[in-house]
Amino acid sequence: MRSTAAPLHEVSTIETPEQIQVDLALAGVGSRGLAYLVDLLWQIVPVVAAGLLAFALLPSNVRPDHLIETGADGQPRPPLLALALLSAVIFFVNFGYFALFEVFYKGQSPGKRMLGLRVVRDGGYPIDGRSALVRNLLRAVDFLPVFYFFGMAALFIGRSGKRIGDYAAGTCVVREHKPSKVPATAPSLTAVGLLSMAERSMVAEFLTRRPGMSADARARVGRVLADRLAARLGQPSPPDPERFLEAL
Amino acid sequence: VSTADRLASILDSVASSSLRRVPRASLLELPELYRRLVSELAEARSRGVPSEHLVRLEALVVRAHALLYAPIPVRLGRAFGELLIVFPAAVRRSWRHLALATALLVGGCSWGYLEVDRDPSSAAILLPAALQHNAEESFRQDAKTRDGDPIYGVFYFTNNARVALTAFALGATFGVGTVLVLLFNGVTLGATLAMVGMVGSPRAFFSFVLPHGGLELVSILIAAAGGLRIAEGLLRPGWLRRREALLRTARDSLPLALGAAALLVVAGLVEGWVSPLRMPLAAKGLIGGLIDVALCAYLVSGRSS
Repeated sequence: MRSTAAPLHEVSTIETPEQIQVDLALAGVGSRGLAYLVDLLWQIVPVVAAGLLAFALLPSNVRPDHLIETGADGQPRPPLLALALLSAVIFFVNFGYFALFEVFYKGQSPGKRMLGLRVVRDGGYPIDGRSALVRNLLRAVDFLPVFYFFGMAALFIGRSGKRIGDYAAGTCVVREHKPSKVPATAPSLTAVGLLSMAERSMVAEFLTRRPGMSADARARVGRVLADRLAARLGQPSPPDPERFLEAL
Repeated sequence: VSTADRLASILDSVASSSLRRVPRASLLELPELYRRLVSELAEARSRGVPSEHLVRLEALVVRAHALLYAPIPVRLGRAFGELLIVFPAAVRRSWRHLALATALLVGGCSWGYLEVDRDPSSAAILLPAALQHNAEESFRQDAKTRDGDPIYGVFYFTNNARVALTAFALGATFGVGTVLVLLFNGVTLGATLAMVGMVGSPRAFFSFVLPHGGLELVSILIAAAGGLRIAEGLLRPGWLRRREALLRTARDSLPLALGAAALLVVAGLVEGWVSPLRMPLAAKGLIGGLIDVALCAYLVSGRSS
């Protein structure tokens, strides 16, 4: 039997070498777009920093209106060092930002981390260097013809959480599972140890049979069972009997 | 303590510190715990236990799976060493694509040259605005007045590497983009040569271009050849599905793009330092020739695959 409720989002079913199938929730266009915008902001930071530094490097006699320095020979000379620094930083941010973060932070650029997304290889394996480079070099194609049109089209058409770079690299972007909050009435593990074998199998029996019970009977039995066990564990009567029993 | 709890606590400690700081004994426990968890999950599914429990087990399986089957961590130095070894073989394997890329560039170059030669006013259309703007000066410049600051190498590198990496990536447009990049740059090159011949000083031009020109062009052509490989995979996937062919060719030809970028660092250094030096044209030609011979020797060297 597979997981219970129908998924609210696209999933990719992987099979581990131990031959068990697990669903990974694929990231949608919206969360990926948001993560990208966050990353875009992060990319602007070093460029602006380099720009400011470049400006600081300019000698004070430079008139900012044309940023041209006059050399010893009287010929105009651009502020080379500053511009070189800026162009190097822009280049490396452009081509290195995503690839480096995805390699060294296990598939997560800062934006993806913030949105709870992660790049994984097909099959759920962590991303390797080659995949990270391929998917981010091909970013240029996804970007065409304007602002990730091809990439978004691929996401919509393919329905497998992949832009063109992901197809080329054999990767997809998944949503990280957020650990669900433990119900407030959850009994501690030691408490469960206090219950007898018979009591435990009673709970198990109720939980397996409840889909077949009438709503009325189900509520009544659940209430009685939960109250009795709660009393036995020295806990107050739980507000939601079935959740309490499930937690047990 | 249940399998799931023990596994979760080890995974948490790995996530919060680093692999190295987690006790060895806990790490050695992982595979065993993981396999037990997998069978617990399989059993839980067949018994139909509450979904929250299933979700928790599944999440743990995914996390443990990611850790146990992680790739070997990337060491930049070692990766670069490997690139230097596989690059020549990758280039040799792509000789047909390299030939096609060269033909496209030479074709564009010839057309650009002939067109400007026939009608000099067409240079206004064929040459980029920036180059046109100071066309008169730049084509008449001779090596003496050309600014020889080595820092220019940074600009040469970033521009060339951008062209090379873009030509590679555009292979995924079924090659259309790569072909356009090659033709466009060829036409620019041809038009420039024609202008130099008409209004500039060919001596000064070649004195500047000879030391680095060969290395620079070949590097860009190699990256473009990588793009053409990707394009071939998409256009002629054979028995593979197109997406599988894309995956295979893109991963295979990645060394072409990276190696080309590495060569362009060298080309940028030569262009920034050596090319502007005041030297006889013959000396410049000799330097360029030696660099090109070294490049060829490198490309034919090394293991075959």
